[in-house]
Amino acid sequence: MDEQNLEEGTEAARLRRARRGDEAAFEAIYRDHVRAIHALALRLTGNPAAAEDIAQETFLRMFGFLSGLRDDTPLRPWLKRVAANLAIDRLRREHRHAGDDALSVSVDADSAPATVAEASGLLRRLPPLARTLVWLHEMEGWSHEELARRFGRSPSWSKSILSRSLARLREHLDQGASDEHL
Amino acid sequence: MNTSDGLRHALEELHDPPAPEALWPRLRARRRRQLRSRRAIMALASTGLAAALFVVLVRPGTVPAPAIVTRAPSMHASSADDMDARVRAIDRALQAAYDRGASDTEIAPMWEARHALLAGNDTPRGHATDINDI
Repeated sequence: MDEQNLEEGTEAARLRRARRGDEAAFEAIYRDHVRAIHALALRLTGNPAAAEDIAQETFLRMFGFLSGLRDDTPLRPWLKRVAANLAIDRLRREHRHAGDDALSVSVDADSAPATVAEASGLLRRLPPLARTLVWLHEMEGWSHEELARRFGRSPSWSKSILSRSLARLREHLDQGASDEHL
Repeated sequence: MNTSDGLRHALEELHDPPAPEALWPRLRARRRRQLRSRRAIMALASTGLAAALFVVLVRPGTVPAPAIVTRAPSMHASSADDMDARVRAIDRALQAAYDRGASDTEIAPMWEARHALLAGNDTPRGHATDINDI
């Protein structure tokens, strides 16, 4: 592959082509990132239909904002940030009348203790707010200040909910681990 | 490995599930609709802008040329009609004066008035010096 072909295959080149309306470039960008974006949306919402909507909206926003994106903008973090913001907005909209406690600490009592291998299931059993805070802080690297700003709360609110949620998760993991050794 | 590490490790190890295949066709269709409506809005905005510019720049009364074209003929027609009416009135007075055998001193001012009236008009009739030429 010569230098020009290498350059044509880069994200910056695809962005430039997409900006000119090249649909193949749109699709290439989409294919590169859709799995990660859809997975993030699914982990934050726990709802396949909501995850699809969020993934779709994220790419539509990217397509609509192409002229504002610099060629050297790393797309993955940008897309993840948009998807996370959409998930948070949705969560706030859907649960605006629910209290923080109801959203953050009531891990499903009926579910069986989880093992590490069942982390995905454990995550799904977390209530929406707790799941979102845990994933964004632990896996996506959001700071408490960023979480607080996005949720319109204080950093101590974020720390408190995260701390309780992680404690519950560890309890379930410990329980699951001891059950495995029996 | 403690539980905290175990939790993080477990979360890191999670595989991303594949995105639904139907997502791209849906996204592409919405993108196309979005582009179409954006183009329609742009076309509408351009038409609106052109209409607004037309109204501002070419509306009657702001440009002399069309105003002259539309107003001059009516003014001309109006003043010509008026002139004809006045000339006819003088002619009737002259005819009556001749009919009753009026003196030249009585008739002369009428002719002067007629000449003065016609001198202000640029029509060929303005050069007529005889009542029969009118």
